[in-house]
Amino acid sequence: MRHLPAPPSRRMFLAAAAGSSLLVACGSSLTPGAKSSAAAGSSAVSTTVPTDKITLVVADADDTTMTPGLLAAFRAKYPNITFKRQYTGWDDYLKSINTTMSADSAPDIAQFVSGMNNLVKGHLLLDVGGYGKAYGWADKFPGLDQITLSGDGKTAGTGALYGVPGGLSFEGVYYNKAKVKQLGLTVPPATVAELEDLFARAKAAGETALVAGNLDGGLNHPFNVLLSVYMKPQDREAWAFGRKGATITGPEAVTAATTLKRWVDKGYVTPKVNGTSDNDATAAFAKGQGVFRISGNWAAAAVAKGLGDDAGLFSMPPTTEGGPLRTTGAGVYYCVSSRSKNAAAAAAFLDFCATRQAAAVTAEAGFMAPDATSMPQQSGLLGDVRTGWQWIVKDSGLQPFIQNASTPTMPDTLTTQLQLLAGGKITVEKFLAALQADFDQFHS
Amino acid sequence: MTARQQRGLAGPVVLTVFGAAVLVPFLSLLLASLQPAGTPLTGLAWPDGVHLENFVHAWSAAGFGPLLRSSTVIALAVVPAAVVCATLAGYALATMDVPGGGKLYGYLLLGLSIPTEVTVIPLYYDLRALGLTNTVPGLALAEIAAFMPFGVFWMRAHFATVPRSLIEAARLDGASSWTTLWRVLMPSSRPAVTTLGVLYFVWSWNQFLLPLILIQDPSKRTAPAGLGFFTGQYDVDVPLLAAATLIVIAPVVAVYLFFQRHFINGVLSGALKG
Amino acid sequence: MALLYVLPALLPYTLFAVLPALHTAYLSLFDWDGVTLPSFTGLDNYRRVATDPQLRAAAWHAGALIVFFSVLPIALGLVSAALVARRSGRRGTSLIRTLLFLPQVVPLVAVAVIWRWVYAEDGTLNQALRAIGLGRLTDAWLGSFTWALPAVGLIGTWVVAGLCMVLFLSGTQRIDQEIYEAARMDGAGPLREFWSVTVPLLRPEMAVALSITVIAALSSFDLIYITTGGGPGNTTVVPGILIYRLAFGGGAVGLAGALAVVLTAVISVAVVVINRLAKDPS
Repeated sequence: MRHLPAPPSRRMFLAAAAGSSLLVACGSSLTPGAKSSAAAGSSAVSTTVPTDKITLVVADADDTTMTPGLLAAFRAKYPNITFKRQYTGWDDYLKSINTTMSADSAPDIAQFVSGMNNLVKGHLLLDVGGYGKAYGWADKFPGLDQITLSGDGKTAGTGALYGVPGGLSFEGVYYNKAKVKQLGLTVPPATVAELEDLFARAKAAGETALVAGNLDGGLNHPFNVLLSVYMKPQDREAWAFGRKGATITGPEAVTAATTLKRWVDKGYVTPKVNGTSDNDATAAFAKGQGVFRISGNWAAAAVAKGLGDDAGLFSMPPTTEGGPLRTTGAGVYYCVSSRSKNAAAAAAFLDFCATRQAAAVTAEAGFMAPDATSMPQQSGLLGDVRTGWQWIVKDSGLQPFIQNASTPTMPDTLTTQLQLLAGGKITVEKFLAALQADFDQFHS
Repeated sequence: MTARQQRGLAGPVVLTVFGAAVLVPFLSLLLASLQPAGTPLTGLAWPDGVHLENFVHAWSAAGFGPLLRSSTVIALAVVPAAVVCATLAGYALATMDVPGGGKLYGYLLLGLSIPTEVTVIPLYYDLRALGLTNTVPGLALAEIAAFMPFGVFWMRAHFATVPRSLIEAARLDGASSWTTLWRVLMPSSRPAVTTLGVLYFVWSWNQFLLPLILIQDPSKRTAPAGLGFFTGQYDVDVPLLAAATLIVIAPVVAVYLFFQRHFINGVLSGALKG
Repeated sequence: MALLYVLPALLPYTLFAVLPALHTAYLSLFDWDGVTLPSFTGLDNYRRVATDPQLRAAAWHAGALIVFFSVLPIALGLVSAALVARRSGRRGTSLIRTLLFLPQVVPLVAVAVIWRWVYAEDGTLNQALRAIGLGRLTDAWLGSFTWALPAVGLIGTWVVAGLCMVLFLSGTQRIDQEIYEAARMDGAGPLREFWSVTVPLLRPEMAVALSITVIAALSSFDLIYITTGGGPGNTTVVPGILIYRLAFGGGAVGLAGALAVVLTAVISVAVVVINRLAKDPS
């Protein structure tokens, strides 16, 4: 009896204590993630640019000269602030940005892309609304609604502000001036119907009227633009921003989708469009293939390089002559990490994006400057783009892409459904119903 | 021509066709890398002039210097360790009575079917809890773990083909299992081990999703990450991408060629018969 | 004692592959976006997996890919290994062998780039078809509802065949040359030699190749993601694509985890069956 072990109750107690403390320790790492309850309220907001030596880490996927140019211009003005830029290719950026922003070493400033909405819920992005008010961003930047997000990150256009656009982009209609002249077509058309008429005449002359590539879903460009033209702005915005109860199955949306399908069926669009990538379509158009192409200003440099003086662009025409111009666009938005220790410096950079100096950099990179009037004069295609942009801003006609903020799965769903539509596998009604089903599942 | 001669020709003809099927896509890659930057590409096209400057541009644009260096560091951390671990385990599972050996083997094989495209996210948080994200050891451990099932599978299959009598003879001579492995079996295992090492090197070099998620600093990622620089959101620069691709694959091909010669020699010198 | 040999492999594998996988399985019981804290939902994700309309098509495509990832590469690998082995030491043989393995060393991103322009409308394949007067057969292969899946599958064949060949080659080096000489003395031609000597003796390697390639087919993801992304429509969607879309695009890591658990279970069963069959000496 001398070798009696310690009373079982005590051993059990120790084991239970050790076990439960292990469970607690594991428990928190078994269900990892940022708390969505603790509010990271923006503290003291100041518009004074800090004067001590600061290094800001910037993560982006901007493959133009804009982001590096803006950083350099800002540094020239505030030499005490240096940047460490972490550029990642677009696809890789989409995959890695959420984990990058969740790390302790999160960059101070990051380019905002769709899919980062969950970071809002996790309070990993800084609510810059306070800085916005202090700096007066509402008057300096168009398109802020696209980066204004509800607390659960599910709806845009409402809630808190998380960033500003460094440069904006919009969709227009590129055309080949030489071909247009040769075919005797008059541009710009005053209405969508006239545009379609131009397509018909180009097609009759044996040309590809509308160059497009849908291997990766590039028909979303004409589709988004057609939705901008046909749908009531508030309806279109409600859907694109993911507002509960919004629908894309109404008669206007049906008209937009039917128009696109008709363009495909009548042979206006690149044949075998599902087998051509969007990049290849731009490349083909820049090489002189086809007559028209609906795409964004990001393609302007490539088109201008290929077609030279033959490159032109006009705004997407409205349904009725003289109606307000509306089109689809997005931008390169910058947001700030809630973990940044230098939020005031980051906010100063955001504010810098609206300046005249920034506009020069932005314009040279092929983007639209937030302040449309301060964009430098340009000739040729870039001049056309600048004029188009000024008209759109004047009419407040910039609308979000429907796949960016409606649901996280919408980019894939839209690509799949557009391929089915272009391949003649589904009707317009089924096409729109599939988009709506994705929407309803997420927002139910 | 006699039937026999025709048959003798069939082999080389078939092999040449196979070789061509492999080579043509590579040829288009090579030709593409010599085109002027920004050229869109269609099929096999002879470049007008040789634009070697693509390689210089690709190198500096993607910052291949640090990327190749970190790829090398990671491969050096992963390959020897993984090959040794896999060899030991394969040897034991094939030639010894490991308690629960069948179950252990099954347990290891299960790893072949783990879809990394989702487990990498919990893995990120696990490594973050250990403070191993954004570090070489963290990534190396993840790669060793991911490569282990194939290695054990491969080495076990290899050791299973070694004649039992050879091992018995060594044991009768008083050799321990350790000595048997290194002195008796290793010489004839060189082709299998070299092949595994080359495969591990290639996989580690080309590993993509793991570095992308587990390493946050883009300049510390691996060589294939450099290819992402030429496929932007709206634009792909094909000649630069082709040049970058050749830069990324050159070291791997070099390693493969080097070790391949090594292991042919091993075979030809008759080491195989032990 | 023997366990000590296995331990160095087991340890990192368990800690950094199995535990994260189990962690994923655990998180499949949660609604989790991969960023914020998960909330427990029990088997809800599995219910959604079971009723996913896309999953049946995806499973079907993955099954079809076995033809391209397993059957064709193993057949090609056997033929090329036998031919290379017969000619070992002769001029050009090692060159051919090097060549056939090359696709295996190229990063998949590059593979996709190479093949996208082989299959493009003005691509190499159509160029070749036009050159031999079959111009009417040309197509934009990756965008065709009929041809996209075989086209992607053949890229897999191109990549995997070299690995199979190397597997089989290291097997043939194990086969005693005397067996071949004996067969030749019996007057066996190359074909009979192939069927009656090489193929039966490569049985262990074939089991390895079949296991690996079937797993590659069923769990295929990267190759398809970077060539067609699952399109056109749903014609090349496989479970791996669905998992990826949910985990990275859809912010539904829990749901992706549930799908991954199901996929892993299916693949494990397939591997067990293959290895049972390989053991059976019939």
